[in-house]
Amino acid sequence: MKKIFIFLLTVLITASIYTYLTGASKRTDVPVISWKSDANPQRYEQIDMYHKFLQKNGVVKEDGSPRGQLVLDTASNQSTLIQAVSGMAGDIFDCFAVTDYAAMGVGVDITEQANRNGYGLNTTYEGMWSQLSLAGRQYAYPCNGAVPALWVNVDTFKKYDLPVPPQEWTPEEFEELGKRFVKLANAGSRRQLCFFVPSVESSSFAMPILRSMGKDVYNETMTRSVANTPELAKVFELLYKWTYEDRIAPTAADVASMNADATGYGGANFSNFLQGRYAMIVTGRYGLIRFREFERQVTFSLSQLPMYDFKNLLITVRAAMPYGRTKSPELVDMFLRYLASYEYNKYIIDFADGLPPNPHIVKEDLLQLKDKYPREGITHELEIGWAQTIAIPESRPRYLKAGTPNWLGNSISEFFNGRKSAQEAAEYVEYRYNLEIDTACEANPATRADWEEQMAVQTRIDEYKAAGKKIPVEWISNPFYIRYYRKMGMLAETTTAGAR
Amino acid sequence: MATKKKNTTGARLTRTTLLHIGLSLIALMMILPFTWMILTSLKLLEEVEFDSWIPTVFQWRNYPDVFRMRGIEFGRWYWNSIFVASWVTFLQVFTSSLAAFSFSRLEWKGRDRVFFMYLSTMMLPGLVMMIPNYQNMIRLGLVNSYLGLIIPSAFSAFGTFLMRQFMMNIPKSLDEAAEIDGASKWQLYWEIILPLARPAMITLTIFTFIGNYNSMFWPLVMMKSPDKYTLPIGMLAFQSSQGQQTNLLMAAVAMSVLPMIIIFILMQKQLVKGIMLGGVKG
Amino acid sequence: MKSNKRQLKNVCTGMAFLLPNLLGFLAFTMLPLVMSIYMAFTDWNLEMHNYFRAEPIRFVGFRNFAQLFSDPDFGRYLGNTFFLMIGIPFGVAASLGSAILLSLEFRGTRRFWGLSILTALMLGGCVILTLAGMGATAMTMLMASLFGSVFFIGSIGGRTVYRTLFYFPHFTSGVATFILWKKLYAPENGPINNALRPVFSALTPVAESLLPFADGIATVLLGLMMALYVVMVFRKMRRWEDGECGHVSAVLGMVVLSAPPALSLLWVDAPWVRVAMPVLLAIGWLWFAWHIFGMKRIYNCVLDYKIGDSTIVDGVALVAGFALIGLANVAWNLPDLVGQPEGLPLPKWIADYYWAKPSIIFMGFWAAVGSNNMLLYLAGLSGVPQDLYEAADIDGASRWQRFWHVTWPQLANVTFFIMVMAIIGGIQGGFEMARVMTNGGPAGSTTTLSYYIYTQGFATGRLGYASAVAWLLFLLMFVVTMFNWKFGNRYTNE
Repeated sequence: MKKIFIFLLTVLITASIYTYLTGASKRTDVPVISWKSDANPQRYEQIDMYHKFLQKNGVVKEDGSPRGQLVLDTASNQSTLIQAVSGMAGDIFDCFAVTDYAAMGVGVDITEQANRNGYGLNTTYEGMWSQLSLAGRQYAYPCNGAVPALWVNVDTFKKYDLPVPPQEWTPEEFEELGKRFVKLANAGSRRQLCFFVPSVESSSFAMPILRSMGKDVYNETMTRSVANTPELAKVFELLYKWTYEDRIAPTAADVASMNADATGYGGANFSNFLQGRYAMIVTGRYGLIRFREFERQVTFSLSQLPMYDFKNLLITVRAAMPYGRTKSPELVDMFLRYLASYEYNKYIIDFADGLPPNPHIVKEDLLQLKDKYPREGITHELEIGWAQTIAIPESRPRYLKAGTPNWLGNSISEFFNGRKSAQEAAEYVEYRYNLEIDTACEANPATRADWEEQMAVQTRIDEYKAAGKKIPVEWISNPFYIRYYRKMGMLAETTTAGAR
Repeated sequence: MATKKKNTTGARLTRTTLLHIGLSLIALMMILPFTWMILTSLKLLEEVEFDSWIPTVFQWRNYPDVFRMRGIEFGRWYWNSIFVASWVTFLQVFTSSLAAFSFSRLEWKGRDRVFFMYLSTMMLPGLVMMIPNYQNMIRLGLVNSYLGLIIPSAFSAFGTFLMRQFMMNIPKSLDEAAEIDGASKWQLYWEIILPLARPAMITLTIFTFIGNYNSMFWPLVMMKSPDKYTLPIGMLAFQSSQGQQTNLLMAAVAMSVLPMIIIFILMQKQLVKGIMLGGVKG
Repeated sequence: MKSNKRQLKNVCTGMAFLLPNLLGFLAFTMLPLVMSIYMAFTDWNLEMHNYFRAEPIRFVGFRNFAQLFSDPDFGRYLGNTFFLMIGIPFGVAASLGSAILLSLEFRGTRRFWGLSILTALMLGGCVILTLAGMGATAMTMLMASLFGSVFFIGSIGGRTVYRTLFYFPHFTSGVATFILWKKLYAPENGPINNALRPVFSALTPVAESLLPFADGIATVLLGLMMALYVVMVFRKMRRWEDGECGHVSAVLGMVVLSAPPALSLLWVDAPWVRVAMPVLLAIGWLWFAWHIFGMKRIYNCVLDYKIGDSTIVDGVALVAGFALIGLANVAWNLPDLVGQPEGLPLPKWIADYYWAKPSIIFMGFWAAVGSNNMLLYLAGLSGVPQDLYEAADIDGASRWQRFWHVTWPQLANVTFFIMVMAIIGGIQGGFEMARVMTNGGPAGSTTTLSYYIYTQGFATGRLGYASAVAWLLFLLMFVVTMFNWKFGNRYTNE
């Protein structure tokens, strides 16, 4: 017994020493920072480029190798939040809205250093500002972004002798062309295999249409959901009609019975699109990563989603947020500078990994792309142009928790499955989001105080609206209304116009 | 009537054959998923979704490929899992046997009350304790460290219970004989009771090792750095980042199940005994 | 004086041995326990109380619990947890079945040779089949040879081989096998649907021919469910009159039996159901009340007499009732299903709101057939005295009677233990599957209480609230277990 015990103990202690010596922090003698992001293969190249960037900027050891190392942390780990607030997050983590984290004190205010080192808000898209800053202070800088729009497979339209979709169109035009397309494309086949667009059963398809009618899910201060409008119900019904009556978009059952290799980046939708089963697909530039790999080359053009008067598109941002407790603030600062650098943005432009965070720096290169990739034409300029003009981020109240379900999308499903009427579904969106806000306020008195303050602002906004007065821009936090009221001439700009 | 039938050889053979066929069918259902797993792990990616389960060419290189994937430190995770599970098992068996010795072989006031307290906590859902435990780990600075995984699992009421049940059955006369020989309590424990309790120790070893090797919740909240992941959360990371590479994923799954299968086949007998020991008394 | 000293010494020695474990126990079980109770009554929220900010933690009384009950999702998640527990009786029954099969007599004199030859013949047959090119695909060959090998090894190794193979899924169950099942369930190209696809397309004409009668079938199925209710209530009354069932078990049975008709109001869309079910329920309960209050029964018995027995029988009826409702709903929706251009749609398993829970139950069943429970039953079966069977044989009992009157009562202790453990496990279960396979979705259909605690506590950071949910879960477990002990014990002792 004694011998076994001592033997086991020796083995375990040896193993412990081995484990300790081979841990990641022991493998290199330079400081290591980690970047929590997705597992896109391009990230690894971007990391290698970062190391070169360090060398170029003199962050080196005596032998000339970079004095710092970046590692990628790709686990989509739901424990991120709890680890972050426990002092244990990645040095830089990708998030889609800083409000989730900055309010908890996890982020650091980088406004000053950002302006000093060339990665301030003004270097990037105005549409992204609300996702990078909280109360006017910057907390993050984008790695990339996207303005999802309709990528058109021009060859498919040529094949059926149909006009290529215009850059802007109304739902009626969309529907009309769509019906012609599915009729021609499915002629002679027993079961419908070709569709105009992939499934429209999504909130990202509904949102721009809703906004084009001047409505949003939340009010101006984002203190309450105001989704229960006839407009939202109309959007729901439109999507339903396209799916079940006009059959220009597939139903869930259609999607489930398509056979495509769902392997690889982007999933089955992309392969269906490239094989001509979908005439168009909703994606951002990043789709090209996959499109270019495909052996059959396709000619592209770009169209906005179909919508009414107020033209808009969603903009999404993958923001790199520095962590408050990083051990190497210098390396993190270098990383953000790297994100705003020419090298990085050039890479994003060339390899189509979404929108470049700092578009001004690569303006010239952008114009060269249409010569380099003739089949992609002016799509690059268009998307980046839209990102700078009409793109608006999703409105996301700071009172919502990280991990709040997408109730808009849920409600569309409820309606599509016949569990609710269109108006009931719209009402449900409002009910659920308001409930989420209430819960968050109840859990945190600071949130509640903030919310009450904003509610008071909202009352004043409502009074101004009723009186037909122009609304001061700084009262509004919902990015949609700023743009919309500005266009409608309902906005009173302050002297520091554009500061928000 | 029934006895008559049994005696004819033909009927008996038919009966046995039918029984075997039935059992084989159930067994087949049990191993089919594993068969698919192994065959898929040997396929090319393009073949994964084919109707046929059999790869056209066996891709043995999928297995070494798993270790070479960028961002997937499979070898490290493997090592971590076994390392953590080994420490936990070692400590748990040791502390449990000590406690069990105290509860079963020593007479002291309040013993049964303390034991009852132990027993009653076995009923509590682990989730109740997880949340405050995590808070304590933060305070102790043990988040994202191996110690944070090992220490909380090193003590177990279940292990104590299992060992106690076994030690109760060792005859008391041994203690008296040892006492007459002038042995101390420690000697009694170390030289007499512990060797005799070996079957229970082996059972507890298997249970603890497998339980810890498989445990997901605690490592999931505790471990942050990829080089400190254990296999379950490593597999989770694999699935979420490279999950579309079904063939490699299945190779990884097969390899992560392997230690359990080996332990199971080697230790079957003790395990079966142990389950009955732990269960029947329950 | 001396004895006191001695006693103290004893305590010290005892404690010395206990100390390592006790310290750990206090630090990692007792302390968290106390903290957890405290947390459940505070607003401990990681947004406010974390590494970076330390606002005072406020005591909020029962607010967390109040919020819990007003949360529209909590009821759903509780329901999900119970729904997933429907799998438990099936799993236990299956492990009992396999234990019985394994315990049957294996020792035939010519067993080895006879079976080996048979296996060799079968394997040979397969080979010949391919050689002759009889159209056997590689898949058929694979299945045949797999079966052949299992059969062969089984016939040589006997019980141990089968036991090992049965036990495999349970032993390895964990993240790895969940990932495996997720791939098996892949709706587009997973092996399960690949295998089902030809079956479903063959069934399509059958379903189409049934189309005109779909409503009729649904009505008949619902009618059967109602009939089942009537029969079971009738049986219950009879047993009550005969003194074979106490008041408590009668009321409890009525509640259980009423669940299918009551829930069909929610689950079935047909208009007539809205009238028929309330009427049926009202009649049932009125009749019951009239019996209990208005009748004198011939034999009296204790309040909770035979509660275990009746619970099991009623439970089976409950599951059967649910199954009938489910089938009726399928028949009801048949026109939608067949209306698809490509015939009957394949189930989308864990990707589908309605299929997700059955999928998880099925996977659990696979792992439960040869679990610890099977081993416990095996041990229990070997402990049944052989003379009881002989006595039954002399009485000319059929196989079923032998099982019901000898085996089942003898195994009651084991069954009771298994059920208690399974229910405790079931109430706090579902976290790993939800985390690995579905992330609680689609649309929350696989979110169980434990997963809810995890998301509230560790993903959203509301530790106080999560602790409150955890304590509620404990309370639930405690009640169920106490119920089991109180009544189950009596049942097993009868």
